[in-house]
Amino acid sequence: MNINILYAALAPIVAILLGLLYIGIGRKIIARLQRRYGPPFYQQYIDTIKLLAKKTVSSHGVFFSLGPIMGLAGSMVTLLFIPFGSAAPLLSFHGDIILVMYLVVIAPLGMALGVGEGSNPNGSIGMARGLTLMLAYEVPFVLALFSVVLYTHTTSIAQIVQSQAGEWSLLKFHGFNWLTFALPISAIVADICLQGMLGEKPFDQVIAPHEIASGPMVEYGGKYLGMMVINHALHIYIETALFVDIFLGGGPVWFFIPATFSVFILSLIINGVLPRFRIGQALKFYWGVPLILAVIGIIYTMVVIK
Amino acid sequence: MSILNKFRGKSLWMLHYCTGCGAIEMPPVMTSRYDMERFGIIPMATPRQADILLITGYLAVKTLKRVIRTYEQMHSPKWVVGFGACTVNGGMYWDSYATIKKLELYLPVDLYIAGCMPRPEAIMDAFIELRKGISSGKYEGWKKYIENYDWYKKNQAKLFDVKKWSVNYE
Amino acid sequence: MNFTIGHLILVIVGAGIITAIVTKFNRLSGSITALLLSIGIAFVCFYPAFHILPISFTTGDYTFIFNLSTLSRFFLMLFSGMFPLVIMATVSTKPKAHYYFFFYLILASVIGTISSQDLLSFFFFFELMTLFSYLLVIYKKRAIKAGLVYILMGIIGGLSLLLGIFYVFWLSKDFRISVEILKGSYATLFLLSLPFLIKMAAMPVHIWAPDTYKESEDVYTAFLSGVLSKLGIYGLIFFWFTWGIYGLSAWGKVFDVPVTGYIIAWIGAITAFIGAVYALLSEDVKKLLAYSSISQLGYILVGFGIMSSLGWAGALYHTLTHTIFKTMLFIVVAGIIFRLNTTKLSEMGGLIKKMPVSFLTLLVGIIALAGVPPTMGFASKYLIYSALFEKKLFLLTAVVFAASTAAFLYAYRLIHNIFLGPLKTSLKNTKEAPLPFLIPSLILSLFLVMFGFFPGVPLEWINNILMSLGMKSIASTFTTISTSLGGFNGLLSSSIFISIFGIIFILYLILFPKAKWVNDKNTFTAGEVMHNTDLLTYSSHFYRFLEREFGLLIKLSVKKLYDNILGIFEWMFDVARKLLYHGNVNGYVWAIILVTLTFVISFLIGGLR
Repeated sequence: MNINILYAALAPIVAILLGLLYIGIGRKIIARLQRRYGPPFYQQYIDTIKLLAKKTVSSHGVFFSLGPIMGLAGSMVTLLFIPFGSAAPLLSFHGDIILVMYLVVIAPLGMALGVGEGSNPNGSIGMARGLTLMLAYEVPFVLALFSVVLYTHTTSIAQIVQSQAGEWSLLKFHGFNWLTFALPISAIVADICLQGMLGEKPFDQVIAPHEIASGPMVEYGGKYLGMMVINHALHIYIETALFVDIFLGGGPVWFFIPATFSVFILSLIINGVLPRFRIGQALKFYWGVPLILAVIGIIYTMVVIK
Repeated sequence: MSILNKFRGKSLWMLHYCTGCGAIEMPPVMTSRYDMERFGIIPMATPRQADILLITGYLAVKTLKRVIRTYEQMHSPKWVVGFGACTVNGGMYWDSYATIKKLELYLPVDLYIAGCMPRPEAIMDAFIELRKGISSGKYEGWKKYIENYDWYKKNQAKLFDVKKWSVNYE
Repeated sequence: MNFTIGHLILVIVGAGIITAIVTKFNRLSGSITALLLSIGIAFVCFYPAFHILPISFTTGDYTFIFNLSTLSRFFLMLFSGMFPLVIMATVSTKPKAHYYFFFYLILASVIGTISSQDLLSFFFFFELMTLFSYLLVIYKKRAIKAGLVYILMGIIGGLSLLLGIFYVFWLSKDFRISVEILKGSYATLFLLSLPFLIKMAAMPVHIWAPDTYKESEDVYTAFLSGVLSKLGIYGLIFFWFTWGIYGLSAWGKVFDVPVTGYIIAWIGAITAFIGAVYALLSEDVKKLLAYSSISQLGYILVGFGIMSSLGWAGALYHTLTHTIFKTMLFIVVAGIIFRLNTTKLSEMGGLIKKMPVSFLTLLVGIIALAGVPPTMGFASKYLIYSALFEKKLFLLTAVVFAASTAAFLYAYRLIHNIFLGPLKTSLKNTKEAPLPFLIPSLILSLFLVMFGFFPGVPLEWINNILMSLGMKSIASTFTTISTSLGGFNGLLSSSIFISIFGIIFILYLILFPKAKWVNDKNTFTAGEVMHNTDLLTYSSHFYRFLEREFGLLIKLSVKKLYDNILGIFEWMFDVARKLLYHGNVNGYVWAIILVTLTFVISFLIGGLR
């Protein structure tokens, strides 16, 4: 228990470092996809430190400043409720998947307040798009989770991780406990939704630098932008960790970190080769095929458990 | 603060103010052929996020007002790079009534890239020089702008033919 | 001290009369009288040493019974607790004498409704409530047309209730509610549910709600939407409980849920979703809140329709949550409208610097509305989702989840269009809303946050109700709620959020340079200066891209359906009129002769027999 509290205190720092590293390596991989050399893998750390070391910043009001802080706090509290593989359950015995689904939105909503006070229409449009995108992907995603709950008879993420536990060793591979193999359709749906959650192409309407000048970030600079970059890193960690915990069985540290990374890289590679949807198209897309697939996944689950 | 300067030098977010013909030299620099991202230089959408203001080519008097506003919206430390002969001495527009001749009268230019137009190699060279200079603390134009604010404002007002000129957000 | 419900109702009516007389002489002292008396009434209802006794009296064969069950006590606390807060908000609007009089009469009839244990007095008080609330709806001249729809739907509901009661009497020869004979009668179930579905503005019969909420007096809307609509869920539980869950199961089950409950749950889910979509597309602040109210009551119906103890706990919990936050939101918005004199969202914007307290309370309100953790809104959503997960109702879950995500959209739109964005130049001299609006909203937001930290506290009361209804209680402590599937710790998650926020905030203040304050004009507009900052407002048609996607849904409104049905009837009667009243004298003569002949012949035949 005490060890767990220590882990919980360390978790945000680890998550930030991991998330920034993922983005850094991701930039390198995208560069290679585009036949460029690409920045060094530690570039994202440098960028973040540089942003935090800016000497001046401008603020449009109290909530403009509080927005990124609220976002950061929201992300940190969320990641405490997502187990770090099977190595450390953190606080996930004190809150389940429904809590996590709602904790995840604290960060964007907190940020939305700040963005709104920024009095720039680009930011507001970005937020409107972001919330619409959330409306789009949450519905198939919750159905994918629903089939997991049907299969495991629990909403607690820690117990879902436990239910997939096998003997983990370097020699033996026990991936066949994974829910990905038990519920393949739901896993696919969840991965499609992950693309929207991470805001990667074709679902990067929120940022859309060429249309709305990086949307929510338009008025933010310096330390605020630094906090937002950290928040983005945390966000990547949270979403991928959630996916790995639920569908890839969590696993020990040596599996968990590469697994989260590869989930991120998968969506990044899709990002690398696709253009952007219009926001309405994104909604239509998510409420089309993935939704039908999710329903099929649930029916499949019902058949399997019988 | 030399350590922080090292970080600043290695992460340069750029706002390219593409008014002139020089902008056409930027795409090769950004994309696979020369790939400026390997030096941590990426284009940014808004001045709030940017570190470098890259002025590619001539500036009309009217455009200069926008550039000055953009520059003042950027957060320090920030640097200005003049690109092409037009920013150095007017270049081929040296006798035009509508364009400015010397950018450094109005904004603290840290680095010029001479040429009409400079090749991508020259741009890359300039960026590497800028990177080195920032890391060693050589380029501090933004401090110069604050110290000599009145002088810059006087020059700007003279150009715009008004008594006093400020960005004026009131 | 002991007294009966009759005394309580008489005292409330008396308080109404006193307030009306005082208000006749002086508006301000009338308002203060109203406030003090309402606080007194709330105190009487809340103070544990006062025992409210049942009462019954017999006239002829019939016995009127008034008794407060555990369920009624919950609603009594809700109604009498909200009453003084709403009355407080009326102080600065200085209403006329009859406004307060009707307000008190509404409270009296509501208390009569929830305490009556026999059908006739239930009907009597329920109808009185509809009548008085109608009289208050048309307090403003602009609301007469909307009020007509309101009273029409009220009458339909009342007639349906009366028919149901007669049908029950026909079946059982008894007006008491605890009769076994109701089992298996579709007609009574339908007739006795319709009035409450109308009251809750469920989807096919919701048409009165948007206009009535929009046009009625601003503070009264808070009471109408926040409090009075809860009578619907009370009535549903009150009547449906009579059948019992097992009685209802006699018609068969879908997914382990009684068919009737399943239908109600679907009505609720569709109401929740479509209400949310209309809310996020509306351009008027009160209409947005009205549709939001319709949508939120849909969740209550979903929870109610699942007919499990988790579902009913969710429904009752959300009843409490929705009462608190919707009353508060309407009061805050009433304060804003009081200062701005407009309800259009496009005419507001950037008021955060002018009305900081209103902003904070509205913020807490929309966080509760969205159901995000540090407020009690999450607990009610949690219970409803757990109930859906437990019963494996996946399609319902999808629709409800879509509705609650759409709630983020309109909640953000509400706060963004009123408070965020650049300040409208026409609103430069706006002042903070007056104190009578702020105090009740601050009190209510305190409750929202407090119960967010201690979600188990309201659940304790709800568990009592569930046990009195013969259902299983939900396992909970002060800070946690746990179900068969999982659970959460409200205190832990909320306090961790607050403490992390505090740590980051302190670090932010210590480590980093202070920010320079810039004004609305100093924004990124590609180097241009917007001298008219109104052009930077992004507020009308906030979700235009959704208007395109939901175009079909907007076209297919229920109101148009009713209009079409009305059109068909009009056409039919028109045809009949043209046939009978054609203006030809010969025709009339022939018609008279024909009718007379028919009478004579039938009389003859009858006579011969």
